[in-house]
Amino acid sequence: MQQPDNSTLLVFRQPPYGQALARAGYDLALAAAAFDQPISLLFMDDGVWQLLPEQDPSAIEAKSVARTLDSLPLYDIDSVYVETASLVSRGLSVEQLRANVLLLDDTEVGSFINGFGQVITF
Amino acid sequence: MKFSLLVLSPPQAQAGDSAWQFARAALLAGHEIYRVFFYQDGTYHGNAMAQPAQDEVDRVARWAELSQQSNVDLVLCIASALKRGVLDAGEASRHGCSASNAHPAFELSGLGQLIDARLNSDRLLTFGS
Repeated sequence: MQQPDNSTLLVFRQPPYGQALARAGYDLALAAAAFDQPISLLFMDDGVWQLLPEQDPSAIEAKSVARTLDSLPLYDIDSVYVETASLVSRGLSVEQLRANVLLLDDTEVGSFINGFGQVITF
Repeated sequence: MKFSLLVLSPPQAQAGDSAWQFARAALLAGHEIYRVFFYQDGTYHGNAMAQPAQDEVDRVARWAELSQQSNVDLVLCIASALKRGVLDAGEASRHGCSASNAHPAFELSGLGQLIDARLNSDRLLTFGS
């Protein structure tokens, strides 16, 4: 799955709350989109928790990352990938996630990441 | 080769030291460092008022020194820096603060500088998390 050389993959590996790294990744995604740079997102490890739709972090005074995820198509960021093994090991299934994610299995994820010109992990 | 570095961790973490050591080694080997972009807790590297203990390395000073010697562009993400109280004179006055503390070797600017670094470098390396 070779991507154009200026393509960037942002890998999200941290849970949505407890630290600000997830939001930092989204800010970069939106900034890159504003500069017309092709961006794809890959969620793996604890990053998959970000994709659960019904998030209400108001009780911990945090902003919902789900809302930001919902806004991505407005910025023409449609390529959202999930590593299947990270879901399985956390007892999650793709049906529980927000819509429009693409699954990658163990054998695909390495070559998928390798296909990008740039990879930045949050 | 032309490198840019993305630093996400504060000066108290090993990752910031690794970034500086990489930058120095790359420059010594004849490579170019296009930009070092400090994001999130990485922006603490620009706090000129940080006072390390006497037997510790002054991380802020040595980044500034590297920048002066080798003309390395040091950029603090402005949103991350403001949140953490790292302000240059202009931002301090704009926000009604009585003092500024950003080291003059660092420039406060937006995420566009990271996108630009990514486009104008052969490699962008991330340090820290």
